[in-house]
Amino acid sequence: MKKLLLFIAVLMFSTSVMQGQTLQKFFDKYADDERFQYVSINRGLMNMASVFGGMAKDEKQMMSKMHSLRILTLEGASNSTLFSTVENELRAIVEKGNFETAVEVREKGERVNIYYRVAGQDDADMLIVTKEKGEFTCIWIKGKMTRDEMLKSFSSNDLMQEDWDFF
Amino acid sequence: MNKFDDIIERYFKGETTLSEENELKKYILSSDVKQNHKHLIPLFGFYQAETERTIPEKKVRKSKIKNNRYVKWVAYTGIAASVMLAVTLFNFNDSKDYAVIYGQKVNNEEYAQKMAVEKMNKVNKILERNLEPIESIGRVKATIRTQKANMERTKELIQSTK
Repeated sequence: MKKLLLFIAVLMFSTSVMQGQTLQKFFDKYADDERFQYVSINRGLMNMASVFGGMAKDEKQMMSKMHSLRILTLEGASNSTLFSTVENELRAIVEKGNFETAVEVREKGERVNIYYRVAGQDDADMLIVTKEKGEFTCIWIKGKMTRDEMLKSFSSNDLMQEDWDFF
Repeated sequence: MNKFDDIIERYFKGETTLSEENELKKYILSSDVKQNHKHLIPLFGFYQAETERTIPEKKVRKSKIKNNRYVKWVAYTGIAASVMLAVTLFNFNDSKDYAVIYGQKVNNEEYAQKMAVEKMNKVNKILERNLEPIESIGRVKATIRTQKANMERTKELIQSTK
């Protein structure tokens, strides 16, 4: 029984690490690419509390739970092969990585998708993907947040899709 | 003077060659050794015995690691500690803010933070613009709720007066 529990624990740990690695690999692959712009923020997250106002009402509380922010941007023609390749790779990662959709906005050539997942108790990842004319941006936020906290941060700002069906 | 008398004399002075020493050793340990040289037999015999001596193989004590809980827990704790260390080091290495602009690394934290703020603000603007209608619906929803509550109160009031 103990062996079984240990095996399950190891399996869960390795699965969460592997899921993280896939997204990690994606960012690592394109971070140094000459066609991309990449930003990695860890220490300076606390200086950026204001910018999260659009996603969470209590931005200070949200900031304290975040550990890292990575942004990958691709500029160019939206119909290029590279655009579709990057988009498809990211879609596959989202599907395989057990991400759930929090927000999906499509408006006149603009698209914003916000995905989230919580591995284990509070190993949280948030993925914001925006596509507009000539620019594709992928934002990956890592932090310690339970699923309830994550949902609360979305719903407190009327971002969750479920909240829209109130009638 | 015997040939070997001269060699023996030079042997003790340390002037003999290796071939002479070998020759002398063979002679002393042979049956042809002369009576006046027999006192040297134990000395050369000792050297001979020492060269023939082999070091006995060290007996390796084979001990079975006992399959006890202590050993297991020590192993598990070691593995856990290694994993923790790896995770800590991984996070530590990742602690600096930086940007890579079209393949060129910029190790300026202020610049990286500014760039991140710009990108995040851009996303926020798109979200605000697109979620504005939903906020309006939210306001309508709140008004309807208030009206509903008022209606309920009026109903209750009418019923109580009846």
